[in-house]
Amino acid sequence: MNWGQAIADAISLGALYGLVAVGIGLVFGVMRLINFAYGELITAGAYVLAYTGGWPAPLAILMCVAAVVALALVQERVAFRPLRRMGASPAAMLVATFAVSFLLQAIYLLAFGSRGQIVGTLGQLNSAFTVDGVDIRWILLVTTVTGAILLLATGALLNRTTIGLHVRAAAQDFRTARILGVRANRVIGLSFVVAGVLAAAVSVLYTVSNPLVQPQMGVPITIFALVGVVVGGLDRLWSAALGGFAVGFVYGMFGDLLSSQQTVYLPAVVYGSVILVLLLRPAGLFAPLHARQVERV
Amino acid sequence: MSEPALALENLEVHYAGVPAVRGIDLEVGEGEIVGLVGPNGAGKSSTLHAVMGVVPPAVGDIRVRGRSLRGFSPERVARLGVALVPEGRHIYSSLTVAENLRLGFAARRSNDGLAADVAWVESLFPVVRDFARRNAGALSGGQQQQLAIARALVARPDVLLLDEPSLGLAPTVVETLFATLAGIRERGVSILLVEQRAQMTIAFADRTHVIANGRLRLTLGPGDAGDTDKLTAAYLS
Repeated sequence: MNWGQAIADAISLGALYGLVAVGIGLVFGVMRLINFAYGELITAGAYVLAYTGGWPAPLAILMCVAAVVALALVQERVAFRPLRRMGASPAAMLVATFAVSFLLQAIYLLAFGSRGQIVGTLGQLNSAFTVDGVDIRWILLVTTVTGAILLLATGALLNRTTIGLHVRAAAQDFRTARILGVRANRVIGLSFVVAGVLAAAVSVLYTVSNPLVQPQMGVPITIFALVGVVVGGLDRLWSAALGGFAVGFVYGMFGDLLSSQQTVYLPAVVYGSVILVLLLRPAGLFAPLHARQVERV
Repeated sequence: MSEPALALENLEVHYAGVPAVRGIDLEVGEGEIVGLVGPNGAGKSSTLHAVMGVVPPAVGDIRVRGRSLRGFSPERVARLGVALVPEGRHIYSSLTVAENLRLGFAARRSNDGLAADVAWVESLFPVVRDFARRNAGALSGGQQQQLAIARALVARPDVLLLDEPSLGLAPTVVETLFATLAGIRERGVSILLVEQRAQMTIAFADRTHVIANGRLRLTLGPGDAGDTDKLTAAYLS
């Protein structure tokens, strides 16, 4: 294993976690809610791909996006909106996202079994091309480019459109936004749709390198991305994205460079660094110096 | 007989069971400016929040041109033509002045005449044009207040609610502000003006209600502006 390869791996893993971090950060921005059931959206997308293995890839991907966006909206409608209407506390909402997460995992277990399904969609992207003696798998390039495009598109949606302006306003001061006539359900719905599209993209890209889909597949992805979001800073989307990227990059890098005997300590080191960041820069590593502290639940 | 632009009927507002507004009746006719003054904690902001649907009324009703707003969300009330300039302005400091103004479009029922409305608002408050690209957080307090009113006006409301717009402003700025409100009324907008500056409001508004402990104590016209005894008695009641 050499440096070139490690960096290529690290960048693509960083792009992947950057996408997950933005998906989580977008919903957090509007609702002040960390959706722990976000990973189960990714898992759902992976199952869709596993069961559409015989289909042409574009059709399977389209199906995956549609199913994940639908599930994201169901999460919002069935679980989070009624609680929001009742004026549930942030802590209650947070616990509800755990409940949704476990519920979905149990449903996957009952429906698809514990042994796992294999995704074959886009498997050909595991073939490699050679640059300067470094073998780079196509999926690394595709992941990085797709990640960058989706992040830019999300940014453009937020910064260039009226509904994007409404989302940004709602993220800063939801009550005033509603007083101005911004439709709460629409803004929250949009953030869940975008989060769903990003989750579906992660399903497609992640399963190329990790084709085995199991009910708990989404859990470590969520937790890891959350680490990135917390490290980067929750209050701004780009700092969350950067945090997600940083965590993915570090993980990819050391995962390649260290021997397997050493990599068992990697999660401990990553989580330890989170505690350190929270102690030293509670607003996040990439937040502006004088940032107002975000309320954490 | 035409319905009043805004009518509160026996309105009560409770917070966690504790009454903040204890049954008030109040009407704002079309093109009228009605003042609502009273000490801190009298229930002025609670009244406006109930109208906007931010807090549900515990008892009573709120009608806009005869239509009950019971159970309406804030965005629905806004889209019915009621605009609130909240206490403390609630400007989006990290958004630009132009973006803050654009947020005001959200409640518009139609985009007909949008350009003309923006031009009118810019003539009232040139700051929203001159500093359009600046971050709203960089504006002075008085400029932010102007932006908050401009943002409410581009929604083209029938009813404008103002919650202590003079708070933190220099006296000369307040005079300009009141003069502007008179100009806004000329366009047929009905105004409910909540204020701490009682004398000024009484002299300015068509009539002014004094609220204390969640009840209306007194109604005064511009002619009563010098009558401080009545006002003091109402404040202390």
